[in-house]
Amino acid sequence: MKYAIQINASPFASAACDTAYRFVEAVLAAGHEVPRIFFYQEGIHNAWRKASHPDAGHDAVLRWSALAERHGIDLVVCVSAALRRGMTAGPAGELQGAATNDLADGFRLSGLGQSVEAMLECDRFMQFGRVS
Amino acid sequence: MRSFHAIRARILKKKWLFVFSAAPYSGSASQELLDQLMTVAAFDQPVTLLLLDDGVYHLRQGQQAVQGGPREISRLFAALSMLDVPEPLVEQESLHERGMSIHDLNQAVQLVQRPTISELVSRHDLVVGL
Repeated sequence: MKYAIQINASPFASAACDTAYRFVEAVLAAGHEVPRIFFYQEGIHNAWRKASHPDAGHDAVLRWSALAERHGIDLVVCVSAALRRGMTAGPAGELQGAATNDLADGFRLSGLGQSVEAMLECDRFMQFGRVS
Repeated sequence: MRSFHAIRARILKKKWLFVFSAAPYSGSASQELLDQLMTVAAFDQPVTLLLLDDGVYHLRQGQQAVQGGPREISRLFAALSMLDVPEPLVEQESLHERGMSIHDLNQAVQLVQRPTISELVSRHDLVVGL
């Protein structure tokens, strides 16, 4: 079965990301697929390249990068949600006059169409973190 | 890429339910959930909009945006008909519990009763925002 995942919460303000990570791990271990994870709203804070975690056992950003690399997961950060919160990368950043790359490895900026596509093509949709 | 997604979306069609259950004007959450709803609707997908709990305040009459503050959210709801999104569904009990009735809302809605919500959810393929 294919799962589309959307994460709306910041790892620094909610346990929802931890739950999401463990859910994705369990889904993959059970032989299902997670083609894409969409980071929306406060969920974009999962992607900060320079987030620093004194607690080595809990790196909220790097573990997504590592999981994505191991399983070929497309980590998509919503571009408008990111720009609204000052996160930039690539052409979107250059348009804003910032030639920086704020995204950790494995993450990319793209639009809401990516989430719609994943939700249409997958058998199940799970969101983590309250939206509204 | 957008047109590619749009073509795929026309082939694949699902029934979407968007649920607003938290009060408006608490950060950008309402705006971003509406953005997602509008993207889905723009892909020609059938969308249902449900307001319950404090989400009913999104359509409270008498909202006045202040200069430099957030935009008046109910105007965005009013514009959804342009994307063929049907009248919002509003849970009657949520209104009643907040001392409100349909007359306190600033646009036409369809009232639904709490016992019917689970059946409403089961009629949709995707639920976003609950």
